[in-house]
Amino acid sequence: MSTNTETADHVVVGPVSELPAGSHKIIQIRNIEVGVYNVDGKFYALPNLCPHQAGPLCEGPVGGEMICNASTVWRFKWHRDGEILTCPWHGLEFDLTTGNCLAPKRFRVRQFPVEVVDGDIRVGTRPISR
Amino acid sequence: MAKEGESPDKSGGPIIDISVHLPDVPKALIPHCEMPWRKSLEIMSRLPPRPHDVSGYSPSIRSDPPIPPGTPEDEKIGTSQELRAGLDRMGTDAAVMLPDHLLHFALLAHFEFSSAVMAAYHRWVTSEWIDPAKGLYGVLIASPFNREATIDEIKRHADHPGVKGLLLPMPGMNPLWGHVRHDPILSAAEEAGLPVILQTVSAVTPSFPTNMEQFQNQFAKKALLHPFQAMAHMTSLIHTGVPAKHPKLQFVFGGAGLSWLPYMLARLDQIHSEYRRELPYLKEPPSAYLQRQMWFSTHKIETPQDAAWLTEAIRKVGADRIMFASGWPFHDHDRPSDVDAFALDADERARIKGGTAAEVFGIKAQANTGTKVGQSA
Repeated sequence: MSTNTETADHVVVGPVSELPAGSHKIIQIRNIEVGVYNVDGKFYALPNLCPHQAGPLCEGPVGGEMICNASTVWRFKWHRDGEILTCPWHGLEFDLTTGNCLAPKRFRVRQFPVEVVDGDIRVGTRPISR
Repeated sequence: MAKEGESPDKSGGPIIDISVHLPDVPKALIPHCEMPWRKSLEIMSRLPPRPHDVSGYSPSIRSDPPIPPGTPEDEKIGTSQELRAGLDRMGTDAAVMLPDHLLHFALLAHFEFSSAVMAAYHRWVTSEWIDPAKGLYGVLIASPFNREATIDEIKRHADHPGVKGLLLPMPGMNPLWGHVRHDPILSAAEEAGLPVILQTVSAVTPSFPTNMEQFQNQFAKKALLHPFQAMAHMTSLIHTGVPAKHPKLQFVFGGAGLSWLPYMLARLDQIHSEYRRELPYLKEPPSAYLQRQMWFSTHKIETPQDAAWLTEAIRKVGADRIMFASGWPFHDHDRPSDVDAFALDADERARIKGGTAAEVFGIKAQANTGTKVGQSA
């Protein structure tokens, strides 16, 4: 986990070049840890805390989603590679782009706003209200 | 005949019993079976049939000795008139008739013989037992060994107004229902609009469910055989996404009572939350499919000292998922009035006793008319 510059409303993670596509970084925002992810050039930030049983969510692997339905003729197919985060404790999967758990639907992680200002990645200190 | 002392149920709606068992001994099917397999049935018929244990027909490894005075005998019915009279005494308006011995059908590995028996059963049940005007309905049997013949039989009989389902035999299945090789049979049932019925039976076999022979008496076998069969087949169907692949297919589980259901609801959803990636066909938790496409019959109704927790179990699953089944003429059969032991409201009881079955099986029955009349919906 990195120490980053913090103001009242955001934390500077660092330059974009330090977080290439497919990578992530865990930072501290006040008293919580937040994982910041670069998903194909777009940045997302979410708590390092699984809503299932409080596991270190952002220590889990990032991958895709297996799908199998009528559109795939009921054959397994890999889908959305790089967009799904899996909790290392119990394997619950979360959509990095929305925070939604793939199953069960009642679980959802908050997201923090992320913007790039002057080449730096900034994460807001207040979660996005939904 | 139903037992002396049984009184007709006088509740409001029609009473539909979805599990009455026919005397499908080998001798009964002889006139309906093609040669040379008719000869096999004739050989089997020379020995007195044992309950659920006719070698080559309903085989079961019965390693436990009878403990005096023995198990109570099942009642005997010989004709559809006798069956109708027994239903009248219980106040039952309509019934779905299932096989008895041939609940073991998946154990008949001989390809040609089992195919001939399947066709013979269908000729027997449609010509001698099914009578929608009297509220008597039947089901077809699926052969896991000969899916082409099964599909042909479905096409041949599905339009019969008294054929209301397809029995998927449970013990002896390998692989279980849910394996992709069985999909064509399920597709045919779905296309024909036939609910599939998974009815448990006390069969100790060298195949699924295994290891039951180690138990020394019927107490242990009955305690485990029925729910194990139901749990295993339900899990198999869900773990390969069958309800999602066949969204119009209706599954009716019978013979295992009700108390196993809350466990499955909780357990399947819990495991699914952690292993969702292994079941990408499911867009919802397993319980959602269970509570949309699966129904459960009551027999054998558990009788805990405190009926309240079983009432709670029914409500956890949903009273609209439960359908009354007597299991008659088995000695341990239930009566429609046994549903009254649960602290359910009148609408819930009416649904369990017949309302839901009327919808699932497409049966229109009149309630308590004296002369029971049923017809296809």
